[in-house]
Amino acid sequence: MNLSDNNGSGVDRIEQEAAEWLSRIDDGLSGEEQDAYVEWLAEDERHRKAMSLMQWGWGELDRLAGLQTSQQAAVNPALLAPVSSSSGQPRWYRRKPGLFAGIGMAAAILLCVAGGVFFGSDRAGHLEFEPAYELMTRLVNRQLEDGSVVELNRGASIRTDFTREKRLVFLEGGEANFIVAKDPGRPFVVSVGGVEVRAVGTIFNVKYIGKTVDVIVTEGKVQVEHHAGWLVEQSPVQAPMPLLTAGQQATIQIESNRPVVTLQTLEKEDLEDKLKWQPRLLKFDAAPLSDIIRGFNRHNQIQVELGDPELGEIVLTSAFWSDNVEGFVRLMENNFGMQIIWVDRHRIRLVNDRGEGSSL
Amino acid sequence: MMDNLHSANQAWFIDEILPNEQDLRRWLQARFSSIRDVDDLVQETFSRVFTAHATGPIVNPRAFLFVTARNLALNQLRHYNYECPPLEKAPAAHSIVDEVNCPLESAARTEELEQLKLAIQSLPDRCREIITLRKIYGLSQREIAEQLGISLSTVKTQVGIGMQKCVQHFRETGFIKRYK
Repeated sequence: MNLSDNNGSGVDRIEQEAAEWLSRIDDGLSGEEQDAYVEWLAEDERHRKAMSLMQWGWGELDRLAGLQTSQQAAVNPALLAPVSSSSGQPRWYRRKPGLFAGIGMAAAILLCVAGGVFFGSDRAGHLEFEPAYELMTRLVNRQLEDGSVVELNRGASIRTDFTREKRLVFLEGGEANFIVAKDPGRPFVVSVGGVEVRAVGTIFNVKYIGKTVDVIVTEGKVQVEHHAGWLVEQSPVQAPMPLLTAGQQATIQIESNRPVVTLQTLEKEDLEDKLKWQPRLLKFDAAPLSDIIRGFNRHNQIQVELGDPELGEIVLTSAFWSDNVEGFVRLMENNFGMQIIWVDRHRIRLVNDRGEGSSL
Repeated sequence: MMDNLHSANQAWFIDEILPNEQDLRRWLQARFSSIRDVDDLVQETFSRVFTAHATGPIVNPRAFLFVTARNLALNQLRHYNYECPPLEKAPAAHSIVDEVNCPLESAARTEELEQLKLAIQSLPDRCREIITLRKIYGLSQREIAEQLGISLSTVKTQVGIGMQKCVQHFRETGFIKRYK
């Protein structure tokens, strides 16, 4: 279907009709309506196409189903009322208080994680827990249209601009790991704070926080460029910067017009440590809970601990994604009668339901 | 690479979807008692959910699961020309989700979901409210009419307008590229 042809008014009218049918179908068609619908579809090939497009869009919106439970339980028609219309049409890639702005939201999530049980009265509702929610969200794994895979760390956002000559990805903030599909004729470029990281087929990690861009290569080679050139520091090499190879890291301070680069080769452990945010499937075969928790703690800023040592002896066979701390602690709560206690925003303590938690 | 993604999707499915099977089965039996083959419907639902997640993120796996099952059940009932059961007979999909009160918003920050949300936000007020109730809370058109104290035909018209505008929005923002 040629999407660019769809701006004529004839198409608008057909889409309007398709949307009307969609709505009637959604409420259930009578016998006569059913006949009329079939007739309408058969009238024109464009009717069928418009209908199929509408049905796709209708189905896509279901991806938002359940958005409300994270904000408020009661039915609220104004859930998605615009926050402010002063700045015109918002664009999706702009950082804005969208899905997860509210404090109420963070509190709601934490309440439900906690089963609403333990919240100390003077802590409930305080903002201090908000970042913990941030840390609890799952990471995002996406496949781009060229087959490359991007793993986004929490809070990271990207947008893409792919043309025949170039695959351009804008990293607007946060950290992402790129596994680039090989396509020598079409370089893959990550644009981050004015820095361009160029690769053909390789694996690399880019982190953009504050005024610092960090590039780590785990496989293949990448070229790091900046339109104003570099000042190379603590490194025997001169500008222009050489290709970064596997195991190397470039740290770029982009505060000034001529960014300053530090190059280093990472030790294996250092490398692993820096990339441990990427989720792994943790498989446990008859493993004690204490081992499972160690597995999670290695991969997360949120640290889980056991309030009652005997809980560590529970044996489990299971598989978890390392970033799914929430799913894990919730499983412990629901299936093993444990209680979840937030010690601070980076620490969760699991206790027996009748254990020390009740004193909080 | 593909294998990687595939196994990621499988693990997601095992983590987030499979544990809901019992609840889903019970709910389908309570709400759509005239469904002939619940097993079949559950399998079909699972397969849809699996495919949907492979092609983009989902805000709330459990809610999406129930909404998908409900859509399939309604299609089936209409196909067999059964009377739809009265709505108060069993809890609506949204209250099922509220009961668990703990969504897993695995990927809720991605651009795809943000774009879907913006499409709804771009709608005129009444239209936006109706689409919100229909798609996010999973209320039926009749339930929406009751909730807002307006006629069913108004709801029906607004759903049509809302959907047409959403598709226009998808076109303007390029989201429509996801349609193949």
